[in-house]
Amino acid sequence: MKILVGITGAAKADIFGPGREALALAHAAFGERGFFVPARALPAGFVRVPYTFGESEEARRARLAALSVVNHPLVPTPVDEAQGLDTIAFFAACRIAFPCAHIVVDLELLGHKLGQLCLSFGADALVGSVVDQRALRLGERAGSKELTRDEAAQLLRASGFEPCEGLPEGKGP
Amino acid sequence: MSLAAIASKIREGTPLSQADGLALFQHPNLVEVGTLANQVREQLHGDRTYWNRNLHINPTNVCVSACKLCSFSRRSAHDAGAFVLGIDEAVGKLRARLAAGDRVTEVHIVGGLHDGLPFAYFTGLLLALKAVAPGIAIKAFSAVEIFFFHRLYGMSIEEVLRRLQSAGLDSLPGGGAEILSPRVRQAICPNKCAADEWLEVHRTAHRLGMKSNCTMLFGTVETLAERAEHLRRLRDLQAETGGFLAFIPLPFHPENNALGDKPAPTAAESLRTLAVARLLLDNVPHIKAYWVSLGLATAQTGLWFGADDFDGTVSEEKIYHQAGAQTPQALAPGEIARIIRAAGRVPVERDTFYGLASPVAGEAAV
Repeated sequence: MKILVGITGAAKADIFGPGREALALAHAAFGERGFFVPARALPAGFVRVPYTFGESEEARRARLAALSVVNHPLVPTPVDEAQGLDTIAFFAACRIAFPCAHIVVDLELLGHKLGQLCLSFGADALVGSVVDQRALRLGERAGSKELTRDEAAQLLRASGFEPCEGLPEGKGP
Repeated sequence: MSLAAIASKIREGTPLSQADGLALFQHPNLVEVGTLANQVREQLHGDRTYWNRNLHINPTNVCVSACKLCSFSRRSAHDAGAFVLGIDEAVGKLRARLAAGDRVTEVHIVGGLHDGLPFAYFTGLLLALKAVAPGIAIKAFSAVEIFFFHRLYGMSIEEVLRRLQSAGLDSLPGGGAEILSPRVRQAICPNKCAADEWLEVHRTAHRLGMKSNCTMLFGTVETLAERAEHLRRLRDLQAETGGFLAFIPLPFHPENNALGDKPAPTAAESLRTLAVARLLLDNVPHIKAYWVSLGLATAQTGLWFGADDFDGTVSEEKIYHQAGAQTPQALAPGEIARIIRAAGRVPVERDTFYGLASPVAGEAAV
């Protein structure tokens, strides 16, 4: 199993090589399709994969190795504040480790912007709250993660995926 | 042209064409484009990532321009939420930062096109700020404002700039460029200065020895070809004057304005725009990932997609926050350094002109 170490500043990793490999693997597994799962909470059967900025390569390797018997959609989940570079690096690591699994972005945790970037680094699916018409993201609603179906589709299309609602059966990790 | 052919031109030092720029915008693989941009970024700047201690002041939000893209302006001084800062009030913001021990090196001033203020208000503001902090750099008044002053006060562009320069203006910010296309400007900001007029203000400023920045607001009604043309026009002026310090791509924020039915550009579009700019603007030294507008995670990631500047501490940004920006109002220097380091880059404090304010010996600044 190959894995990409998190970027720590001390030992700069190359995000582009693994990024290219992860994106190619996602397309190899699911073609042009990118998936959106409307849900207010993580659906049953989805498995969170925690990651922490600055943790060692060994820790990440061990965590992913422990998942090798799981055949469920995997949801990389930051334990603390999600860093941008570290997050996309971990998504790429998950895809490379599990080429055929659904690697899922939790939009509630990562937000739309960082979440969408993960689609260029190995993720193939988004999960998040859908509304028919969202309110303006101003004032108290500034941080709202809700989005419409059109917005979800746009996030997927802008990353080169053809949007599909719901997850087809994964092929297993 | 293929990406391989474009990469070959970059290796040979051949400037890319507008058509190359369009090909980069259209290339299906963002990571491939980012890889190229990162190579150029690291050749130019290594891991260095610049930031500064700056203060934003918006003198007024009263604006006659009524641009559809804007969430900040009020049409009249009597409208709810309209404001004009008194000079003492504006200077007070700087005094407060200095009194708190903050070593601000730059004041960034942009505001609405208010047709009821005398020119002396603006020169007075500059003089008062310089009186409080003589060594501070004032980066003020977008080309749109300068052109408005030229029309409103009946002075040539050069005269406006000379008088502001005499009062303390050091450089121009890059705002108001939007997209340098008559079609797009007619659609989103028909009352602003024209594209050629925006360029002429910067050309004049550069001739007077002033440096400036340049921007591109993307994600409204423009085509990818118009984005490529915009970048090419900026590069052409830079080839003529050499006066641009940095290019700053600004994703459109749709909240609270007349274009609100447009979706905001995605983070992938923002990263691609940074990357294409780094590749096409080979004669502009710096590409800025403006965290206020991009969001912190996207701006941080942008440091691998061509950007070498993160902008500054800011404090009290109004224009993007009234358009729905979800970023903080300010960042502490330590927080900026932490974000840059977390991207595997080296934070380097700069002044307005990219002189270094923090040491880089051992590449361990800040």
